[in-house]
Amino acid sequence: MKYNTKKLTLTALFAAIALIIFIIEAQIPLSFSVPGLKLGLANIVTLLILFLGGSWKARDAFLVLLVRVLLAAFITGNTMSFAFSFAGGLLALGVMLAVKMALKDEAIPVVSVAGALAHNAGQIAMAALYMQSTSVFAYFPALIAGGIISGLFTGFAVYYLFKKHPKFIGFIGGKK
Amino acid sequence: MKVKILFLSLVFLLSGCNKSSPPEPVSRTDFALGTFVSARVHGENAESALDEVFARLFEIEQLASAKNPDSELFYVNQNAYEREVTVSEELFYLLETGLFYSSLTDGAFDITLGSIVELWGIGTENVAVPDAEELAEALENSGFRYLVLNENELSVRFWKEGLRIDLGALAKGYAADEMKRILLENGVTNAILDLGGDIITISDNDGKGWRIGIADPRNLGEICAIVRVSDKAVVTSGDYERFFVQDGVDYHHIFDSATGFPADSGIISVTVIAESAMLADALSTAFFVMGVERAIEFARTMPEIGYILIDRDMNIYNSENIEIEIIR
Amino acid sequence: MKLSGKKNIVCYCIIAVIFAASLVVWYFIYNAEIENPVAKIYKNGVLIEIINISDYDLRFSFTVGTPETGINEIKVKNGEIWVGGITDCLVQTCVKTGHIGSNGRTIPIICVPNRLEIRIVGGENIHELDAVAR
Repeated sequence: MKYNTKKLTLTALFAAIALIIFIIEAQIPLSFSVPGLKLGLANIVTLLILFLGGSWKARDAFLVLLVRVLLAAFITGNTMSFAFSFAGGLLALGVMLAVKMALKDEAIPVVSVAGALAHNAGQIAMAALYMQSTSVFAYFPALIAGGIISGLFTGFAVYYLFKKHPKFIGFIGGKK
Repeated sequence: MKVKILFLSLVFLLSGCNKSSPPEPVSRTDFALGTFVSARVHGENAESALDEVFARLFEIEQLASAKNPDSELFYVNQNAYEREVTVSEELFYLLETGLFYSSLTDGAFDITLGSIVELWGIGTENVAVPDAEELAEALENSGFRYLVLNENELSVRFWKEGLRIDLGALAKGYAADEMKRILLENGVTNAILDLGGDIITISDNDGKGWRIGIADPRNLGEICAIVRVSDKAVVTSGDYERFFVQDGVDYHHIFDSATGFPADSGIISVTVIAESAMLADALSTAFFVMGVERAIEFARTMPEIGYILIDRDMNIYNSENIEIEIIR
Repeated sequence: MKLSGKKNIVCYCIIAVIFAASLVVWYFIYNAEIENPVAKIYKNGVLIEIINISDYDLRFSFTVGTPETGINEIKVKNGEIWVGGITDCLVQTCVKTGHIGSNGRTIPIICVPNRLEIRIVGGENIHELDAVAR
């Protein structure tokens, strides 16, 4: 894996952006959500990197994810939240990769929704494991609905980034 | 349900003008002695009787807690080896009764296991299987035979430095008996008290008897038997009440004075039905330690008490003198 | 890069169906009338208390847990149970879940940081009894 200065800087920038989104997201009150669970808006960065192409590979997305959850854990001092975010983020990354490969016509919102659902499934599974209880799954339908909305939102956001700002995409090393 | 409400309101309407109609039962719940205490009381002075009952409960909590540094018992535990400690009549009565039950059950129930209870720390943050040497030392220093009570002076003396009295089980039974006494003094006609699962009843619930469920020890929240009692206490001790798990082994809170370890007699739940909650409390612990055969043997000497023993294989053994319905 | 296409349309349809289904299921989970509700309180996966919530007309409250394991204050009144007061968890979602036990609100209250859970279940057996010895 070769990193030039530009890519290294961009990777760090992506991690920082993901972290900011992650922190802002934690402030949004969601009365129906299960504690410790997030909608997964920070996945937008993973999604963007997956679709950039060019010199950007899945492993870069993984690296950004790892840096983001590690920093979040350091900032909040909460190891539990680390486990939850990592499980959700990793599962989202894996599922997005798989769905992207299955649907060869690069449907960003669809991939994004699949990622958001996987993200919530990963977190709820962690919560059930941690609580030693299956009651957490009572919240699953709410999180599926929420995941679809947030997945569509992040999906269309990335889609319009590609469509309206091809120069920017080119600048950060993605294929046009 | 609706029919029942309709019927009740009908009865209420019909009896509305009748002065001699019994007042509605009064219920109250509070948190004391480390558990929920709730009471349902029928009688003229139910409200004021309950005020008195709960006030008394907090007094007993102050008296008999081994952990509270302000309690009289704590003072006794700290000083009774150095010198003779004179205690209140009430604490003396508790110690005397505890000592009597200890010798009656030959140590199966033992009020002097305080240092062993402390060492295991069940219910605290420092819960763990103790070091073998420490446990042997605590065991060496425990035993009701090292507790000496002087009836004339109302004084207490320990013969071993490490002796610690724990009235955990007994205090709850004592509190229940005291609550019953106060309610009776206040002219309460029917009542049922629940001290964290220790049940005590007054009278026969207007002839219906009190229907008490017995917790299923391996299926919490469910019951495995129902007994009908009048004017009796029903106390259950089980390995499921308080326990912790270390290296895949469950350790519960009822200790065997012979080993210093949680009792491993094959019994997982004991219910004792007796006139006095204090006796029922002590005997339920003792039976738990004794095991099925010894407990049944022992119970023959006390024909007035009833028991339900449940062993590891969920076999239920009960005395003939109780009205019981076993649910499978 | 496009949004239409046969595969895409099929995917959006599937997403729409899942969305609708999850809302329907959520509605039923959220509005499940339970006869004779009883609250079971679990801490660290262990059942620690069963409360006959409809027995209490006057409000009473108690705390569960220690500063180490996290404290939740639980309140009961008129067949409802909820978390509030001195509850030391960062997210406070257990508090936001609100009152459960009546009006078909039977969604469990879950406090993940403190590993606390309050479940509403039907207590048919317990209700016919005057008390349960345990």
